Parts: sequence; structure tokens; C-alpha cells
Amino acid sequence: MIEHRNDAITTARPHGRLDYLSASDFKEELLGAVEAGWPRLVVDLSAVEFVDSSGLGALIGGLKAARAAGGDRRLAAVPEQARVVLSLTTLDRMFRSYASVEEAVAGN
Amino acid sequence: MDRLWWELPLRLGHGPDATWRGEFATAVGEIAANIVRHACPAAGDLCDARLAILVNRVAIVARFTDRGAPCVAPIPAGPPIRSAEAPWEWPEAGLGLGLARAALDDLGYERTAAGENRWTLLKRLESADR
Repeated sequence: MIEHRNDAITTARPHGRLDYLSASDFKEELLGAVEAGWPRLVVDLSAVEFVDSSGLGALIGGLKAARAAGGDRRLAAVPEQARVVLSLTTLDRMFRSYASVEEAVAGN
Repeated sequence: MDRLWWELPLRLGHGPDATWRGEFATAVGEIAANIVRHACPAAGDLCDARLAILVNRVAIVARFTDRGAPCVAPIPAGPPIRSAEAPWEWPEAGLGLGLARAALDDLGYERTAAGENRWTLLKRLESADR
């Protein structure tokens, strides 16, 4: 899921459901990237069909860890249901979202 | 639920848009997850969890019933996160009921005398055309 692109940015591309069954593994991957010295991460959500509150909690945990390490998290290609979840929790204002991974990597 | 979205335009002349469907699916998913994780973790068949979807021209209602443990968490009045200024204070757990409530027009919980949990999720269709 995690791909190290260059010295600055890493991308993660989870797929399927980000829910109570998969959230803790996903969060571990996000935290692992920070611990490995890659705090700037783009999460490509194009293959995620459903996000629930547990998946959202994992994204939040990842964002907190990234910011504490001086990095950030960006979201790319956010599908409709994930967009709904971010909007309902007002987190769409906190997670910067881009239409594609390329735009997220380039956006500075 | 996909079948519901396919049938609704046939019955009502129109169906709710993608945002409405995403919100309703989110709320249904949260309550279902709560039942599996908290009410019925080891009960299996004894838990007898059921979902009924009720449709009329005004609203769609999802009604969950189960025979598992009662819900002791309060139902929040709104979404779980309001402040955008303090990310280090954001909770990472316990977001589910607030998220479900924010996605609906009403969310109700009842523990019946017969020992059943009953969740009622209501979303008005008038908000479907935005």
C-alpha cells in the first residue's frame, strides 16, 4: 500500500473498505511511514469504496502523527462516500484534497 | 441498498442524489457496525439482528432490531468534530453515532421491554434534490 516516491513524499493507496475491520491495520501503515522518516504522505482514495468512522479515525491518527513530525497528509481522488464522511465531520477543511495523486504530490 | 436506489425512481418518479445516498449509506453502515461490534460481539445467531427499510414519498427509514446487549452510549445531537483549530484534540474513536446523526434527519434508539434494541434512522427525501 505504501510507495516511497522520492525523498519528500510517500503515497499510500488503500483499497476496498476503510472500516472497523481494516482501520487499525491502515493506521499502523500510516504511522509506520512517519516512523520510517516519511511524514509527508499522499493518501490515494480512488480505490476506497466505503469509509466509516473507524476508517476516519485512522486517517485522523495518521494526520496527527504526520503533523507532530513536521509533515502532512493530503488526500487524492476522494470518492463520493468518503467525501460525504469528511464533509459531515467538517474534516474536509483540515485534510487538503486533490483530484489526483499527481496534483497532490505537486501541490505545495 | 443498491436495489433500493434502483427501485426508488420507479416508485416515486425520482431517486435521491449521490450525496443523499452516500449519507444514508454511511449512517446505516455505522449503526450496523455498532451492532456487530458492541451489541452482538459473540452472540451470532442468538443476536438475531435485522434491518428493515421503509419508504414513502416523504422519507426513508432504516430500522434495525437486535437482541444483543443494550446501547449505553448517548446519541449525540450533531457531528462529532466541530473545531478545526485544534487537530491534536480530535478524537479517533467514538465518532460513529455522531457521524450517523449528522447524516440523518433523526436517529432514535429504544430498548424494548421484550429485551430488543431498536434503532430508527430517518432521512427526509425533500432534502434529496439539492
